[in-house]
Amino acid sequence: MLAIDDLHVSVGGNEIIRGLTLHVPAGEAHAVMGPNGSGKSTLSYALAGREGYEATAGAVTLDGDDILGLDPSARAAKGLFLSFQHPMEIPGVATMNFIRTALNAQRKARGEDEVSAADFLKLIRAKAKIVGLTDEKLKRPFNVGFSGGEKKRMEMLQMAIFEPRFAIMDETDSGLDIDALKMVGDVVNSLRGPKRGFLVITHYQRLLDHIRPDRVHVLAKGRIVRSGGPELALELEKSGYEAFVEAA
Amino acid sequence: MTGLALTPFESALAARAPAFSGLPHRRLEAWKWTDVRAALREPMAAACETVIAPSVFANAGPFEILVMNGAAEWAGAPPSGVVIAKEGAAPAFGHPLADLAAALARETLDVAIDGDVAQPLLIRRVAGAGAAQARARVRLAPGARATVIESFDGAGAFFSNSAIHYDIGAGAHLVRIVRQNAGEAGVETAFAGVALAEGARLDQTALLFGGRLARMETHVACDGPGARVSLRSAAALAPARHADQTSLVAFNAAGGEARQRHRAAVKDRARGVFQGKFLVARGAQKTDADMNAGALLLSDTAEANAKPELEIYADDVKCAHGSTAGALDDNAVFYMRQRGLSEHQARALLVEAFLGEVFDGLPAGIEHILRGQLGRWLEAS
Repeated sequence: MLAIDDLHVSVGGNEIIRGLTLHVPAGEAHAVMGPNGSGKSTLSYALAGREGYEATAGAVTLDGDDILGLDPSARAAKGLFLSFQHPMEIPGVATMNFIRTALNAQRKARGEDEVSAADFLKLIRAKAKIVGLTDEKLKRPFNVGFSGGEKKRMEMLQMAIFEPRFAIMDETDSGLDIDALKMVGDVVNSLRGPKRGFLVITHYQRLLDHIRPDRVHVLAKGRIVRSGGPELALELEKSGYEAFVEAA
Repeated sequence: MTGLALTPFESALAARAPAFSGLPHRRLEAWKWTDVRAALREPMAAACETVIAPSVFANAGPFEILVMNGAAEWAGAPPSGVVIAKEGAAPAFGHPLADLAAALARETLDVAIDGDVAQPLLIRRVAGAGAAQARARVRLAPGARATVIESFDGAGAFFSNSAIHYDIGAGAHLVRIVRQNAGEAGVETAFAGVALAEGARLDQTALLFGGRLARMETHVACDGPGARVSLRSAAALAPARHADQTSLVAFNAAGGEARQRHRAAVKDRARGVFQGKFLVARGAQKTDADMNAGALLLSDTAEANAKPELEIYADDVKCAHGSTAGALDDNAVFYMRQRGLSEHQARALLVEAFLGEVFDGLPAGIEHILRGQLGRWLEAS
C-alpha cells in the first residue's frame, strides 16, 4: 500500500530524513516512534507534499503509484490524509463550508459525484457526535477559539468524513486526555479494514493501547533503526530511546 | 491649488468652472498616493451614453435611480416616505473634487426620506467614455430609517466625479452601501459628506474593485451628541488597479462612537490606499472610536499604503488605531491543500475570509450580493 524506499528529505538544505525505508501493507497500522528531532514531523510533511520539504532521493508510492511528483491536493484526492500535530486556526472560514468544499474537491478529482448540502449536513452531524464536537463548534470559523484537544477532535472528524485510503497521524495523542485518546482509537478502529492503512507517529505507548499496531518502527536521526511487533512499543516505554539514538 | 501649470484636461475644466484651479496631485499630502492630475492629462470629451445592463443589486429589489453621466432618471413612484426631485444649486463642500462636481454638474439629485423606508434606494451611477460630473443630496428626517445603495460602474476610458451630501436628522439611521468598479481604464472619484445630528447613526459598507485610479472619500461630521458611525470597506484589486479609501470622522459633540474596519487584497501590480482620520474636537468628550486597516499582499509587486491618523483635542476619550499588512499564511494554505483544495481554491477561500468579514451583519440579501461579487472576482483573478 504505502511504500517508502530509501527516502532522503532536506529542509532548508539540511538533510533530516536520511535513507528511510518503510512499507505499510494494506489493512495494517504501523507506529513510528522516536525522540524529539528524529524526523517524525518532517516525514509526515514530506509524505503530504509540503513545500520546503524536498525529497532529494528515494521513492514513495501509494498503491504502486508514485506520489512524490503530485501536489498536496492530488495526494489528498488519492486518499492520503495527514492528521496535523498542530492544526491551524483559520479565521473567517466557516468550518462546514470548508470541509464540504474539501470533500467535494477530493471526490471531483476522483471522478465521483459531489455530496449535496443536505447529505453533507447529515454526514457531518453523525460524525461530529462520534468525535464529541457540538453543533455550536461546527458553526464557528475553522478551529477558532478551540482548545488543543478540540482541534484534534476536528482532525478526527475530517478523517471520519473523508475516509482516507491511508492516514498519517502526526502525534495526534499530544494534548489529549484519556477520554479523547479513546475517541481517537474508536475512530481509527472503525475505519480499519483490508483496504486501508495507518501510520501512527507518536512519542508514547499510550495511544497504542487504543490503536493496536501491526508493526512498530523506531525512527532515529532520520532512519528506521529497529522494527518489531507491538511489544517493541512497550520495551521503548521502559528503556527509552537513548540506546537507539546512540546506535543510529 | 496646484501651483503647477494646468494640463490640457484641467484647462478644459477651468474654461467651464472659473473657480477651478487644478486637479489634486501627489505633491499634496492628502493625495500623495492618488495622483488624479497625472491620471487625467489628456483632454476628454463630455461623456457619451453607454449600454445599461441590469444592476447587480436587482435581487435586493431596490427602487432604482439611474444616474447616467450625471443626469438622473427614475421610473414610477418612489416608496412611501421618499420624495425625489432635481434641483439646480448645490452647496460647496470645501473639497477640490466635490466642488468641481458642484460647479459642473448639470443638476442636483435631491432625495428626502421620512419614516421607516424598508425598500432600499439604489443610486446607480453609470459612466460612459468621457468626463462626467454628478452631485446629489439625501436628507433623512429625524427618526427616519433607510438603506441607500450607491453603485459606480463605467465602460471604457472615463472620468466620473461625484459628490453626495447626506444630512441625517436626530435619531435617524442610514445604512449606506457602496459598490465601485471603474474597469481597467476608468478614473472614478466619489466624495460623500455625511452630517449626523444627535443620536443619528451611519452604517456604511463599501466594496471597491478600483479602476485605473479610484478614490472613495467619506467625510463624516458627528455634529450632534451620541452619534454612531460604522465604516467598513473591502478592496479587491488586480491586476494594475488602484483604489483609495479615504475617510475623515470629525467628532464635534460629546459621546460619539465610531468603528472602522478596512480590508484590502492586492494582487499583481495593483495598489490599495487607506487613509483614515479621527478628529476629536475639544468638546467631544467620551468619544469612543477605533480604526483598523489590514492589507493582504498577494504578489511581490502589489502595493498597499496606509495612513491611520488620530487628532484629539478632548481629554476624556477612547481612541485607537491599528494597521497591518502581510501575505497569506502558508501554513493555512498547505493545510487546506492537504485536505484536497487546489492552491487556487485555498487561497481564494482565505482571501474571501479576510475581505468578507466586513460584510457580516448586513441585510441578508445585500450581503449575499456583495459576497457573490467578491466570489466572482476571486474566481477570475
